[in-house]
Amino acid sequence: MKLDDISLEGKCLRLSEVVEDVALPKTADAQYPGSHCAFRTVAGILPLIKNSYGLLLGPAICLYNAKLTVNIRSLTSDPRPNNLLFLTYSQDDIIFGFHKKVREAILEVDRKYHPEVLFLVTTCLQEIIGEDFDASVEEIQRMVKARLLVIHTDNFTCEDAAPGIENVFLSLSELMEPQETVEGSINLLGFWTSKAKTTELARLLGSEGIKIKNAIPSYCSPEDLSRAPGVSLNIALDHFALKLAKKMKEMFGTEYIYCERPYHPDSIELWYQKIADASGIDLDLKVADLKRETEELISQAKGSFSGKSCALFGQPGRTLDMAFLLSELGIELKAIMLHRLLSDDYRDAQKLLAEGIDPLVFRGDNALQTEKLLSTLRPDICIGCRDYGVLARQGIEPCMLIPSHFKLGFEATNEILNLMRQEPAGFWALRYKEQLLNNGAV
Amino acid sequence: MKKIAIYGKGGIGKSTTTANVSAALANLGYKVMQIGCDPKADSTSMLMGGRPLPTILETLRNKNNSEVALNDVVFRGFGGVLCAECGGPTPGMGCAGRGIIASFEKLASLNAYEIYRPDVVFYDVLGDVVCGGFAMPLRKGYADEIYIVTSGEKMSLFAARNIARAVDQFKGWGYAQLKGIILNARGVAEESELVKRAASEIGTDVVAEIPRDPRIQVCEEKNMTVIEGEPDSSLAETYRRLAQKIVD
Repeated sequence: MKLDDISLEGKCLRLSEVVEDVALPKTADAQYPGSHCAFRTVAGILPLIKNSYGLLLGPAICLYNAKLTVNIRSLTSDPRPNNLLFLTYSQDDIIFGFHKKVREAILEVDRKYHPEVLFLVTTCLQEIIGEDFDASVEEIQRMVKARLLVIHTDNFTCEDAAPGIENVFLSLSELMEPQETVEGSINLLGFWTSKAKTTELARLLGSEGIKIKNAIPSYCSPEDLSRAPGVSLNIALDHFALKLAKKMKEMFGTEYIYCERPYHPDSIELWYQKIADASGIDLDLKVADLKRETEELISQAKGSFSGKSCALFGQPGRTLDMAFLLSELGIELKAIMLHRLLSDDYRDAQKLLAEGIDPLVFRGDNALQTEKLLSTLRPDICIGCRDYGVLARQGIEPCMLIPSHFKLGFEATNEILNLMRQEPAGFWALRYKEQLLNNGAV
Repeated sequence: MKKIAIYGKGGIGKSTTTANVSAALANLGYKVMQIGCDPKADSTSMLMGGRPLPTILETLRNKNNSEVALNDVVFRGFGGVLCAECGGPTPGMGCAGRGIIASFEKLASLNAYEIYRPDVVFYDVLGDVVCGGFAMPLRKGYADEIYIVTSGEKMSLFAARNIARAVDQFKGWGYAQLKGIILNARGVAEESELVKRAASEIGTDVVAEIPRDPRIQVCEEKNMTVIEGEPDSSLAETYRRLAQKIVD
């Protein structure tokens, strides 16, 4: 396969060519609406904060796309409550400023819905015009009961949703208040779904008398957040949450460790070791038992997957560690979609390269390019790609891992091994459609 | 129809010069339209006897867009000059540049130029080409020619050079072309020479020298142009010569 065949020469790199902590070269301008849009992403996060509403402010098309994203999510296995309200900006608002309209909307939301917290989410439009929105909201704050938190999505500064997500995390620190530290309690920062307290991590910590006080932003109430600093340790599970961990250290002196979700059993073992050390407990024996079980599952799974090839799309946490797990299963990694290589990723990359595994890495900026890449590489499996229509067209087996995102530690890997054997619901229909089309049905 | 944009540093006398030239041309029998492109909306004040005009943007905001007619936003002033003000937001709010674009689009959609058929249209634009909105008079054929008003003061010449650079940058895009510098004197030493040298560096000429003259302020106090208030003065004659040069 020649890269110039797929018009990605110089853009789609080998893993060995990627430098630490640098965004990968873009292959095309970001496609909007898409995963690059922080406004959309932030709209998906706000429902995770209880007793809050999100007021999304922007031109109609941005609001439409945010609403569409939330609606689509409601049909997945990770539906979220709808706490979003939308305020459309007209040309008059652009010319004369947003203050009056926003004030009226905030007063109305406060009066009608009584939220404890009202997030005000801005689009690029408002940020480019540069009106001092924060000062204007500060003035309105005096007139309402709801705590107003402004989230700037800053999307025009980069083709990445990261600034918006980080700003959500940072805004949560504004709800926090100094607390007496309760020994033996921790917060999980960067756990995005419910069920944090039923995870393997929670069980292991609980068995040693350590409690997970909050999983943030996972369905925390403003009251939970106000008390969040009263823990002995914050565990930041991703680089977005790391910002909040640092902020809480700065504001309240809360200690933190940064440990992104691992996938390979060896990495999980080290991950637990790091958490245990920071918490002053010993988990070695329990972790060893769990590790043994997962290794057994891996060795059983090898028979099903060995010799297959795959393309891996970005996962929560250490995507390259997941790649290492897949290679352990005997799967050939043809390509990995990533946006940026962080420090942990770099170590994982070195581990893969040391094993002679050097897949292509790409950003997936443009759906058509991604489809072309997949059609050129022809992997047997595509892990994490949610565009099932494309996969059905290309004859690639999909693997949907969302339920594993609800889990942590070895149980997440076990779930992944289980999900890799399952076809996503409804995929058969897409495949059947493609068969009909190939047989000249249209 | 000649379409002319007047640029220059804030407070340098663009509106005074433009209003006087408009008045002079009106007296010479030309049908003139002057459009103020500044949120302050004071370009046409001297032509309207000091009466502030309802701006295009305020009118659009207060009325249903489809109900806005030309006579809601265009008014006849001294000598029949057709006056309009774009207006804009409160300073520090919103986007004044977008406001200029919206105003121009409204005038175009109301067929203002086809209906009034002015011989000359002046766009009197806020201080500098600060963003795309304030470059609007330069593009899409709104103006064909640009004049920059400046004094011999350093900052005024600096602004003139900056505007000329913007015009130069867009010359390949079919934008309006720089036709000359209008010196509005402030009594700087060797002012004429200074401005001529600057014009030469920019690659243009000084088309007129308006002397520093207290009669300008006296007429302004009476909400009049010099053409109206001191029609027989040498200063009025200077404006008339400039007006004639512009239409020639």
